[in-house]
Amino acid sequence: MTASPAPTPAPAPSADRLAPWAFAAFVEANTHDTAYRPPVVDGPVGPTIVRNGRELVNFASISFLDLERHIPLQRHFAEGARAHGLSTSGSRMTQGICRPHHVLEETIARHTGKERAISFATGLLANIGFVHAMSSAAHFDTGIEVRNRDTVFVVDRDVHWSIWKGLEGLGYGRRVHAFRHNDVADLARVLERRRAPKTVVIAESLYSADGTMGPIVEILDECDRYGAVSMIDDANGFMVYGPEHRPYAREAAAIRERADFVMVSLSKAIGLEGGAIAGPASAVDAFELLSGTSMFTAAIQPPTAYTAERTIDVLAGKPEIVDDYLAHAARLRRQMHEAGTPTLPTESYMLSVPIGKDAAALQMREWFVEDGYLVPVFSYPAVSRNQALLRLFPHAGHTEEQMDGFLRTLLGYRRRLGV
Amino acid sequence: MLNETEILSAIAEIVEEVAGVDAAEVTAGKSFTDDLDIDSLLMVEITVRVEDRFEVKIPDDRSAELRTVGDAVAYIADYR
Repeated sequence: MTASPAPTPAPAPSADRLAPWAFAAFVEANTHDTAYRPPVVDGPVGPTIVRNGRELVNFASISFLDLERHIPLQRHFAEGARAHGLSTSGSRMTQGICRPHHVLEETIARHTGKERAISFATGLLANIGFVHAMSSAAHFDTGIEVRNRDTVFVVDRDVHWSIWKGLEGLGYGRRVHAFRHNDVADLARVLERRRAPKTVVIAESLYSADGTMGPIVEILDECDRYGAVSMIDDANGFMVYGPEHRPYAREAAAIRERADFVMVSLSKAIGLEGGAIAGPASAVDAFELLSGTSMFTAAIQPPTAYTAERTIDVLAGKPEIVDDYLAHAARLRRQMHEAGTPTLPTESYMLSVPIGKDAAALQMREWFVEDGYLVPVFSYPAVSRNQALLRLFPHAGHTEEQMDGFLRTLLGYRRRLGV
Repeated sequence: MLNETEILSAIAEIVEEVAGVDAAEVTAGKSFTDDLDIDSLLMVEITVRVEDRFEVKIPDDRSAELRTVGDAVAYIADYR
């Protein structure tokens, strides 16, 4: 017996009722054809990616250490699934914390230099949960209460969307203030103007937006001066920076030794998915309830938590994995500078290549795909108009031939477009 | 009741404090965005401070219409 094809669904009667939302016009007006029906990816994503059946050299993977192809880690993941199940099957508040999550959180606390860590299904949920926990009021019984609706947040303008989402509704200009990106003098000005007994300063270490490292030491100095609590979103720096011989050792030491809270992501260097907040034990204990994004939603899946702990220990025990990767990224950056297509001035592994005109950048994106490269292009509204840039993640698995090919291709486009 | 000169002077003080623009630069004919280089986030902070200082409410759709310092002064003077 053969299965009959699924019938084509008739237009839903709700289509008319949805008209006031203007979704159809919004989708139709956007000329970027992959915005709404993203290409289908087959197989594991790594230095190359198969999209809609075509293999492209991939400069878009935020999991850049090539760990996903590491057979022992894949085996470890399978072992975690067998030993701890596929799902947590419920909230840690009702059932308890799965062993892999417990061990992972201890491992993250140890590597971030904090007393305790709490994990979340994603980094976004960690950030939203942090803001919520620091700014909410809860009354459970006589004496069992917190009243933190008077918390004031001062954040770098370019912090991740998840922080801004958490701050939504707290009243910009009243409980929420922003300082100019990486501008410590502006931070000091805001703190001076808006002195409050409970102030939380939030900044990132390495900004996804432009690949810069924030002036962490100076930001923490201002926090000390004004008695503000600090939270550093270290999603992009966790397990990459820290050792003395790598760039940004000073910033990483400050995050470890001086920041009150740190947020880490498991989807960057760790190559999995999930996030965590680490900080003083009493606060993190309270976050179990007050974050909301731990108690009221799903957690990291057990085999992921199990593998994340192992990966963190492997990266700490075998520094050559990250050292080799950073050397690989630095080589591409150097080659780009030598070839006259420089990146923004940062020592980070993220390479941002200014292109300028939005139209030229969008044309490049199309050409790159035609020529076999997947290269993320940031144009308006992700960045200001005609400040478009390419934002590349070199991948540990890229061959020299792939990197040379990319560079030759980019130089060719620059000549053709006159940019 | 404050007259327009006093309102202008109070707004200039707020703009200086929030945006770091010299209060002397804040004159009636200046556009917040084009002349004083005040972007949308700073504008929200200034609006909040102006609302508190003058005990007025500036709805979002009206604040978008207040393009110059003089527009803001006139709005507050009328409101009061």
